[in-house]
Amino acid sequence: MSYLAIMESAQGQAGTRARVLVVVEDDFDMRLLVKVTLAADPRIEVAGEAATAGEAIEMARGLHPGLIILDHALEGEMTGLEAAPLLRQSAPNAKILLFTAYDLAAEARSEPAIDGFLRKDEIHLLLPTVQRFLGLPSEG
Amino acid sequence: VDLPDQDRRGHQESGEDSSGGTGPGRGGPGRGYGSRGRARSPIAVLRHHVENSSRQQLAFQVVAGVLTAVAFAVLRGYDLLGKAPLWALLLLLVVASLAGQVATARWGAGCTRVQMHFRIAVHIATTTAVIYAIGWGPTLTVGYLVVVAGDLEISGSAAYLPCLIWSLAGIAAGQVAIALGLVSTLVPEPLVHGVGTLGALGLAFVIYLLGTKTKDVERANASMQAAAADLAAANEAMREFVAVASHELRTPTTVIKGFASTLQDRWDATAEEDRREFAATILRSADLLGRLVDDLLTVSRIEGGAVDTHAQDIEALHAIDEALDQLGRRRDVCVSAPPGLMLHADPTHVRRILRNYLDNAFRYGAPPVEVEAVELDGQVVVRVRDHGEGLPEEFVARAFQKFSQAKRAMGGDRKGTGLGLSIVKGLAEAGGGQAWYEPNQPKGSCFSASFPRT
Repeated sequence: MSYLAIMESAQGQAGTRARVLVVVEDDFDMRLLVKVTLAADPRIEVAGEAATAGEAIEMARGLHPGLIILDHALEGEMTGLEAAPLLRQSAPNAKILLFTAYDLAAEARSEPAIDGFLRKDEIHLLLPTVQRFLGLPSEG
Repeated sequence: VDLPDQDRRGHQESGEDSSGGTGPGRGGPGRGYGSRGRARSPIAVLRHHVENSSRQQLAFQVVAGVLTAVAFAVLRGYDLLGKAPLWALLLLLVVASLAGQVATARWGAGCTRVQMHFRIAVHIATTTAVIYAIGWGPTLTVGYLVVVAGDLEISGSAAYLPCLIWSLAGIAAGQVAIALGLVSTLVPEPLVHGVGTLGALGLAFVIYLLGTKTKDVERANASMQAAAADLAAANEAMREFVAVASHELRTPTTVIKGFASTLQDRWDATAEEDRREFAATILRSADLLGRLVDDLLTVSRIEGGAVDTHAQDIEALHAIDEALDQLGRRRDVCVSAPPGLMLHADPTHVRRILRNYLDNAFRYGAPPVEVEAVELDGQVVVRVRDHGEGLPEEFVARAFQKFSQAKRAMGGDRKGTGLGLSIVKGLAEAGGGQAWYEPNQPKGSCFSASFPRT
């Protein structure tokens, strides 16, 4: 079964898997890469995707994700950094990981709503970081 | 002198300035005083001078005038001015001063510190010799003209110290000569009075310079602040550009790296169709990365003013056909251009501009796509129209800026570099034309570029 098929069949499954909301700009390849990377761990479910801060805030309220992977450059007026406090309000239990190609480590540190920062070119660290935030022991 | 702290610092620094010569010109029409060879009419120079003089500067000039008048009055009291009336001498002073300003404005300024000392010393020695030869009245006329008109060639701020030194030295030498009883024996009396008078005039001149220098400092500060603001803005634009460029470069790099490592680590666990999809994605991203690097280099050449333009006469119709051939879209476009309509431009630039417009029309617009070339106001304007949605209104103003893409809101394939239209604009302008957008009627986009007509 292909990754994409696995991911699609996993959509909507309830319960046992840790839910992740992915908020990224509309670069199809980058979205695919994030999903493929996370699909390597079957305990993780990409429960929703959003391209704007507004969509993300709405989805976070209904999905109760354990982690929100948040891009900085989003469609619409609001950036990821600006959206973080609002996302925190709509999903108080979710960790928020700022995942962007911009150098925003310092800005991310000074924003209390953001729990972690990862630059996109460190894609190899995405899965272990997500596992750590979701409290999933690494599969070694 | 009540200067703000910053002005005071500038004042002291320029007072100790030993570089001489190249400082800002003195109280007058700004940089014109310091630049050689700028021809301005005397009336324009004077009007500019009056408009640009601060109250402080005018006050200094009045004090300088009064001191000079006192020097004349003292000389007259000693009956050393011959029969010339005082008002005539004052009139002469005013005329000489204005003549000096005009002379400096027209012929510029600039010399080293050593040259400046030498000039002032020569003025004093020459004038003294003339006094000795022809007497006081005519000499004062000539001498003051020489001092004012001649020394005004020297940059105001750098002339301050030499003038002060020579003036005081002249007065002191005269006093010493008198005190030692050398006058009329070793030193002739006219020489003492000559040096003393020029010393007094020199002091007046120094005070005049102080006034003009204050204005110079203000002007220099203002221009430095403006330059600093320009630099900060350029810096900010560059910082923004680097941030966005790195973002744009990192995205395809990450995609390549991510999918390649997925294939490497999970080859067996990845289905055949996924492998193909991932490999295609890697190729697509590598292609985008290559185009990004090319476009960034082009943008850098355009912004550095280093675009190679080899303009030649080309037929508009021919240039359009070539661009369509390169895109392999000759059959998909309706072309309208009068045969024989010639433009003068670099053929590779024209093709690149047209290719970009056409590519955008096919990628983001909707058929029919039309290209037309017309002559307008002595230029050749080439327009590419499509019948799609047109640019979103809020995007129109920044369509030609770097890294701006309206596509994000329009969904689907977004694999442009975001630099195409900024390159189009840069190339069109480098060739003496322009590039712009307007909505097509009844719907769609109309991108235009103008080129000089042959």
